[in-house]
Amino acid sequence: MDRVGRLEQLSARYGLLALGWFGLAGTVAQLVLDRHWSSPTQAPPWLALAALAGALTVVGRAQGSRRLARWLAGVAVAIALAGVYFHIEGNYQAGPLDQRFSATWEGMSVASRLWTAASQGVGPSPVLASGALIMIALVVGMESLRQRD
Amino acid sequence: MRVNSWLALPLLGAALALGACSGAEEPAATATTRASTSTAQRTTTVPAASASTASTGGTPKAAATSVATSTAVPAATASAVRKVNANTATRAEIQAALEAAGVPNASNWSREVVEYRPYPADDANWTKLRTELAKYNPAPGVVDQIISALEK
Repeated sequence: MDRVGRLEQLSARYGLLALGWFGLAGTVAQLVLDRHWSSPTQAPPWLALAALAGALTVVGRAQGSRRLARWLAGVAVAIALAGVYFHIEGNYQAGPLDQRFSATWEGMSVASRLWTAASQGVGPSPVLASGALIMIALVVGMESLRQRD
Repeated sequence: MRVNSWLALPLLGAALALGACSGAEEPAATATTRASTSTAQRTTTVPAASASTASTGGTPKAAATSVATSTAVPAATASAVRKVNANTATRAEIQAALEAAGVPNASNWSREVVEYRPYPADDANWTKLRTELAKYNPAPGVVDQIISALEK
């Protein structure tokens, strides 16, 4: 392999890993700013971040286990998808508590309530925030695939 | 007759003392219980003889009844503001306390109260709970109503 090719390989490897770690750090910072530890139900994203940190560490090693990294990333994706669901569900349950909807919530159709909750028209939970975990997991997956090539 | 009047005096004094106590513990009382308490206090501030004369035609037995009624009012006030421990009460207990305090959607609010436990004992103004509940955009006064039913 010539020098340019080796340089491309290194930048792809470290670029992907840097992207993963940067996303991880940003997500941790956001959770800290949100004080995402007020209740036990707010613990899962921290577990997902720990899994992703493990996955990035494993996949970053020359002799790392790609399978273990993928498993850890898969756990993080599952938690992230559950997070999207629970954020929508939390917003949905908050509908009658919001003074703008307390009088009308019961009369709204289920579809309308779901859309209002999913679009964060009501409730405190950012619906797609846990998607950041999926993005980091995809980086782990891409890096593990790149190592196979 | 005179002896009975002397018996009524300590009872009236006790009623006065209880009325004062209920006033000190009243922050979350409803308008109804507040009105009842002030009525009781009005009754007990009247001199014993005229109180019995005015309300019952002067019979000592009736005067004693009047005293008994006024002492029962603070007890009702105390039950109306029954507080539950926000850190240890079950969700059902919290819901019942919120319903008693007149909080709308008590079931949903009790879930939120339980979710954000524990509440620090040194947080006198319930800052943690207020911050969390404010995210739900409640109507004005609802958070104060909720807190009126809670203790730590």
